[in-house]
Amino acid sequence: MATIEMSPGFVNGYVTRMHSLSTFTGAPASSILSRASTSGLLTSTFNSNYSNTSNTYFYIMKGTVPVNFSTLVNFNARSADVLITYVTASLAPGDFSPTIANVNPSNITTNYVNATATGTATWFWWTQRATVGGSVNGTDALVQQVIGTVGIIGSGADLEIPSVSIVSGSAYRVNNLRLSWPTSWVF
Amino acid sequence: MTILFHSNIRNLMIGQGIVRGLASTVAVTIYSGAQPSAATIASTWSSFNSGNASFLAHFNGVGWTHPIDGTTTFASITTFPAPTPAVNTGTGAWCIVWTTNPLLAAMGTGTIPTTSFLVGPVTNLAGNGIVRFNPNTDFTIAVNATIADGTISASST
Repeated sequence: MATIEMSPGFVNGYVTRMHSLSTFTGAPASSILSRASTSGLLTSTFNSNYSNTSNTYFYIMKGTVPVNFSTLVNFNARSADVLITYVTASLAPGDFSPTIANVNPSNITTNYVNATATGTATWFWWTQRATVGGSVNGTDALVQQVIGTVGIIGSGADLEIPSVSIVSGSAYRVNNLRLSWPTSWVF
Repeated sequence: MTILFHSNIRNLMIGQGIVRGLASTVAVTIYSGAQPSAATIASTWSSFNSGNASFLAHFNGVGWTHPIDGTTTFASITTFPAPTPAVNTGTGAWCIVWTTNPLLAAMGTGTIPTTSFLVGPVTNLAGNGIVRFNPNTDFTIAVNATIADGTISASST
């Protein structure tokens, strides 16, 4: 098998670009896949053409944990299960200001945000929308998505929190969610 | 459960992660022997500079792009360098894709031109090297060599 490997000197820039924290995604793209090639996981928006609301939405969710992306066809697919929402801002990290996105592994940390609903957290849904309302060429498809389980500390969940009982109006943050990016692969 | 990334992450990895980390044209150096780790190259550059017999050829002006408006899960060479005389004789097996375009004259010192680069295999057109030659990967000193094509794929990551 052929192996491609990044040098240590390449990796930090690579991780930075994969997040694109505080960076605008660029001009309108011809398709979701085209936009996906430039939209880092913490991309921001820029101007009125793309709204000053965020492109990146990180949700703490309740309900059944998806096992794949087949049902997550747009950003409203599980809107009834949203407990907490963390967003980036226009050319700024927004709720993700404590995040360290230029080293491998990256460290995703947010500011405290009030929950908007009460329920038992079971999974997180990290999404990257295309433009205003999530549209590219009239669709509301998502550019990037990441999902993982949420559980109490010691549970072995992908994101562990002290209590999964989320109360509307109470403040919560994501703290030290570490992502280790691949620096070599076979093909 | 392991964290799941949507398959679109492959497009991001190639477009934003790889191609945007490369200058518009870069250098590619071809070597014989077993492919070392990138860390080994960075830490023991004197074993890989142009004073070594394994250093076969050095191409300048190689342009990599993300085809079809970024919709593919691979990058490919779209700007090809001129045929370039080999520095040594041997069989190409692996290469360094530099993120900049250092000239051959800069490859013979004890200081690595840049510590930012990619390492991958070299094959003929029947293989899956990231840089390929036709009809084989044999290099002869002072004889021009020509890159046939090149692809960096994220299809199995």
